[in-house]
Amino acid sequence: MKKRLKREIPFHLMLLLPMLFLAVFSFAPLFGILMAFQDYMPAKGILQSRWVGLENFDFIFSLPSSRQIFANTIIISLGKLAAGIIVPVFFALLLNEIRVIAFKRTVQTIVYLPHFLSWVVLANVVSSILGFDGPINSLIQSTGHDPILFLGSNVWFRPVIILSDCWKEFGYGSIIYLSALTSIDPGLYESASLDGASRLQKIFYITLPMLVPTIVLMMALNLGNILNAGFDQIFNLYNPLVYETGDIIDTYVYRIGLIDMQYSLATAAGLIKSVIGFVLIMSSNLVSRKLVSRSIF
Amino acid sequence: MKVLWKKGIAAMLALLMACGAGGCTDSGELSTDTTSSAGSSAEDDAWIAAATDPLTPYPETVTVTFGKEAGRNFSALAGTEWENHNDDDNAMYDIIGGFLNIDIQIDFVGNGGDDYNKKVAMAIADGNIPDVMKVSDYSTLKQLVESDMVEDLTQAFEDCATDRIRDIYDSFDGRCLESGKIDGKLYGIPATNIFNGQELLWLRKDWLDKLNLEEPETMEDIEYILQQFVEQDPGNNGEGKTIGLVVNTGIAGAYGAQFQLNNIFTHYGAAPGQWIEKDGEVVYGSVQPEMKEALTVLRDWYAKGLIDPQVAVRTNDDRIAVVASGQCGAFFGAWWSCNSPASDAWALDNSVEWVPCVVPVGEDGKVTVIEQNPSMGYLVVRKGFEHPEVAVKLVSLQYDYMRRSDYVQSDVEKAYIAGDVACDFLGNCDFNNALVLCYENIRDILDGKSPEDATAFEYGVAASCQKYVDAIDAGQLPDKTDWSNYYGRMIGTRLAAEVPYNKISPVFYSSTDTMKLRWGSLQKMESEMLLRIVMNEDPIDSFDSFVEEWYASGGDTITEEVSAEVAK
Repeated sequence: MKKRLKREIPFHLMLLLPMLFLAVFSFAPLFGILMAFQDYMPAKGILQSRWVGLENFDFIFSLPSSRQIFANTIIISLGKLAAGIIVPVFFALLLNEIRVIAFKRTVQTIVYLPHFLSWVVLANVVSSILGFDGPINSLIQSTGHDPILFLGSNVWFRPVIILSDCWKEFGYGSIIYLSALTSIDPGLYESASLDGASRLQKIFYITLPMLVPTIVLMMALNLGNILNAGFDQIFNLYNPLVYETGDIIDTYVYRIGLIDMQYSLATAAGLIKSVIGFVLIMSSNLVSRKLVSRSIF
Repeated sequence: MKVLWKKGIAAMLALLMACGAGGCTDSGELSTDTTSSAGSSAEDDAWIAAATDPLTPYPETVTVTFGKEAGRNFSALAGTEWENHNDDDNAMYDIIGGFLNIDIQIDFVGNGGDDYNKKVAMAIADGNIPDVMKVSDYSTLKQLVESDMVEDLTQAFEDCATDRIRDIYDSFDGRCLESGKIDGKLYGIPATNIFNGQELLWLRKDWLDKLNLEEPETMEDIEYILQQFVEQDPGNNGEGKTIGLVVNTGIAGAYGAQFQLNNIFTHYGAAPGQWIEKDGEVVYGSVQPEMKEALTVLRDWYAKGLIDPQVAVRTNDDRIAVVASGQCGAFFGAWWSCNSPASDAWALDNSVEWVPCVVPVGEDGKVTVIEQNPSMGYLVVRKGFEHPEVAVKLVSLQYDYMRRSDYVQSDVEKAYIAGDVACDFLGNCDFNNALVLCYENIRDILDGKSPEDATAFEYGVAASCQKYVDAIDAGQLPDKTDWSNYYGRMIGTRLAAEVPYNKISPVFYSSTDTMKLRWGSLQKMESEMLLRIVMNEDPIDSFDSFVEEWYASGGDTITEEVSAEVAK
């Protein structure tokens, strides 16, 4: 026992710094949650501001557009969640079948790139591509149809958001599946080949089942983020015309909270998000443990 | 080394002052916390003189900490002898500090707008604000007064504002200085927001000439011209590629901004985004029936293809780009639109000519202009600061003494040239009609006269305009800056001086309690409605349901609150 402790001390020391980081940047600010239950005035501070109970929460749910923004948030995030799993898995499977290493590496690097660009930049790219003079509308016009204002249309806005997010992140998202693929025992493939399995059969009967635990785990992790539909992306792409389908909790909170300096409301909205996220991540973790006996904690 | 030395002195002074403060009299009286020999009456007199006269320096160096909006782009000074100037240390501070005998310490600097406001909010949240800082709106001022964090400056203003500074505030008919008062006491020295002239419709003169079109006057004229621009394609953009009128996504309601259609709304008697008095009652302009008339015309223009079909999705950079690239030859903007996008278009193609028009005129031949909020923020002084009058002294020094032509001496001139003149703490303090006065002086200087109240700045602009005229006379290509100055001052602001206009004076620019909570969602409804109706996404009658919903979602309470505030 003592020996074990001695052996592990360096590891605990290594953990110290991250724990300190957590304490300073994650635990200490928890104190600020109090603002959600106050009529917070910066000049008075947290200790002196008036307590209002659940008034801020009442207010948020009574807003004329609160149903709309919650619905938008959830629909967009679910779309992103689905696309963010299906596409990277599919891509990882395809990449896994490539035998020319140089080509594989090149493709992998290229698809990572957009992940490292900010939405402020990419929003310009997206709106140029979708603009009236962009390639997509040129194509539509050349077939004799009227151009479509993608970013100003309530039909197209959500698909554009989901697909462009998927385009940005799928390369990066596939890393974890690629690494999971490398850990599959090659013996399985060899014996399948001996039994005469085709490539597709090997994918369906070996690769995919072996990937399921990772997929479920990733889904569980991402469920916690269901109310984060992507502020910087939407903020840089939306406009009043698509508030109906594109205004999400974060953009709304930004407009009422930071611009109008309503700190209490912004905190309350953030707290609602965190609570829902917490419940989701706990329950999906439980499900993941029951189903595939893998869990985060 | 020099900085260290300065800091040492400052620290010692602060220490000495702290010791002296123990013997200080109760608040309300003038502080006379000299560093030693509290009984010396000559020294007392010197402190009293400094505290009660606009320009008298302090007998000993006083350290003042500031919160400051970043004033200028110092990187433009690279390669000059001022290249090491920055927001913490520059020629302007040396001049001011030397003149009043104060040591200027900058607590925080933020870029104008959100960045600076956040820093102010943080300082307030900490309960630790600098001795003097600017706050950007009335609600912050009110908040500071309610939490008893700032000094009453009524007496300081009485003592330390020069006559010219008083005249400046008087030129706003009291609207400006009043806004810095709460319960009759002056807590914030307002930064003035001068009249920016009418909003102008900038048209491509070369296109008008090519199509043999006259400059417009009425709504019908504008519509005809836009139609000709779009159909005849005078800029050779290719069929269907010319945009009629490029418009801001917000449509209207922001004043002094570009690409807004305010003139068209006021033409029909509407005042979008403003609290106005109508038939003796305070009402919100955007929910009045006059809006509907203007919107009916605009949606018709949109349907005819006269308004940019991509209005909803363009960023401001996009809008500037379509004008600069010659894809669009018509936009609304104040006189300063000469810089961007007008001069951008000219720089790309020197055959571009612009003409700003004051349109659409009503039956009386005038356009109607909505007056802006006369105050652009307030200078406040921390409660308990020993020398509250320093804020007023700074204003008197910078906006009266140093602007007078007889002060234009080498140091200030140098500072002006180096651009450090933008390193002030208030933002601006100038006559409401400063733009017209400025135009008249520049015009007179160009005519070879020397107007007595002309400033160094005006001489500078006049010289630039002269260079433009000389270049044109000599058949040469003028410099872009000279081009902009000439178009802006001699063509743009001339219209403000010479073309009469009607005014709508909003009665309320601030915020109320319910507004703090509800305004965000009401604004959302409003911007959605404006854009959807103009773009023919919704029928015009949806305006009526917007009005109903607006009142039901808190608009009625807010209207009551605003009426009550105005009645005060």
